[in-house]
Amino acid sequence: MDRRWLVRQLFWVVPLLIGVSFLVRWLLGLGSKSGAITDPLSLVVSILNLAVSVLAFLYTVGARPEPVEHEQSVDCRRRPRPLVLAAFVVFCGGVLGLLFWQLIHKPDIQATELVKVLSGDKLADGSQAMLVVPGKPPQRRYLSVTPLLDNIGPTGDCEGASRLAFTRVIDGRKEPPLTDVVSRTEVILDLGAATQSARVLVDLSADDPECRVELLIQEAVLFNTSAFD
Amino acid sequence: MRRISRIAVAAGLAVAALVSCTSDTEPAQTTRPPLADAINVAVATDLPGIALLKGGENQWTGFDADLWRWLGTHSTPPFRSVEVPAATDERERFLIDGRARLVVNVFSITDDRRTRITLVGPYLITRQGVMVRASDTRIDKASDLDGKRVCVPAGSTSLDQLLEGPLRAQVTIIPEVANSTCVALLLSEQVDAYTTDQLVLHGFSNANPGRLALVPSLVFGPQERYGIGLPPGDIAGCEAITAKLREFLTNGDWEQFFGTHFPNLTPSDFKPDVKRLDPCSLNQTTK
Repeated sequence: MDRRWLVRQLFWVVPLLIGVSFLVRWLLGLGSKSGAITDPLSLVVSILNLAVSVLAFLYTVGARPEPVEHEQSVDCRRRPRPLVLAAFVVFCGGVLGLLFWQLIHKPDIQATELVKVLSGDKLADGSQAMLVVPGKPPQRRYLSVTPLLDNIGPTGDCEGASRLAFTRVIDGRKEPPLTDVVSRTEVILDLGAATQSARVLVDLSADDPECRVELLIQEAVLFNTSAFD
Repeated sequence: MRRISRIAVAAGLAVAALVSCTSDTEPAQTTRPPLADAINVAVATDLPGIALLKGGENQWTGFDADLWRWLGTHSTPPFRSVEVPAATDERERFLIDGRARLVVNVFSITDDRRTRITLVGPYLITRQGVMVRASDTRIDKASDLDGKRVCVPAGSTSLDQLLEGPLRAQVTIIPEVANSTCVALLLSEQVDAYTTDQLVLHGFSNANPGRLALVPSLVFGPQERYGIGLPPGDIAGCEAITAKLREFLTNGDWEQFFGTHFPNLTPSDFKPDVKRLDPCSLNQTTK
């Protein structure tokens, strides 16, 4: 094998690997709740990967020195065919991917600012607040919500001494509660049956009757787990 | 050409190493000694029933003392506690600057403290109380403290509660570094009352029978939930000690220690619910 040819390949293979490594590292860092970003990007990366592989193969075939005795027998007219085929495959992949993400897949909705908290500003043991889920009905099947209890006072272990119970109210009908939820812990609520509206009652149970806390939403995301939800 | 290929490969490896670095959003893992061998434990020295150092013997007695020794012998691997006396206002600093690996020292868990250090627990629950001389019948309710001189330990949640609670602007606050100093000032009639956690007051009352008394109707503020302090970001230590505390609260040792040091109190008034210990995840914001 010609060493110069091999070195020339490294000049584009190494930067490509470096670029893909950075991209993958970045995609991993975005986390699971960023599926709306990571999924289409992964699709783009895979399409690019395919294109680069095909083009690299063609480039290699074209650039690699042929044995001298075959030099005269190379048929230059045969090279465009794989190129056209590769371009067609890439084009089809891109169009299909775009159609899937635009027409079928529903990306996550960041709802941290959209979920309203009613009566959550000064909760004590036994108090109840309400979360109003945006949309009538909500635009996604599931709500991921991470509650945060903020101690209003300067002392007390109020965040640690409190537990929350989440009761979904789907179209005015109460569903079984999800109990013993700790502050800063994600809960996932199924809103699937809602045809009109969804609300969530949040009941506070505090070991310390003197504690006063404010219920905040650290993060809320409306999402689907399947493209067909 | 060989040189160029080496450079290219080296560059690729270097960048790959960079890519695999941890991101900026993850808290830096600080180096701290493991909970093994001999570790420094920040403790009190002057609290009867909780952690009292016998003069000249380097021996502590009390509930906290029993607890840090219990943790040492029941942990895996076991560790030997090296007691490091720490004043109330020094406890956080000892953990942050590495002078102590653990704090077992009537250390109330608060949401505010949890932003700076790691807290595990609770293992005891009490509330704020007020103590007076047994012979002093002037103070029976909050309004009786109007204009009185009240001693309180500096750097404690008791001082915070006095500054922010219902008694603020009502009393003259005398902050002192040591609890025992407050007791001395009270006995020598330099202050009219001494306020801190009821459990601490009960300890002093038991040690000074007939001389000091709690005011039964004066209980105020949020609960004081005693926890064990760990350095900032020590989630693994938090998980390990939480598991041990669950064992401690269920195997009968808690009742035995409490009954030994506070025989005249009802244990259930001070015992936390083992099912509702603070989750370690609340500490993850600490840096």
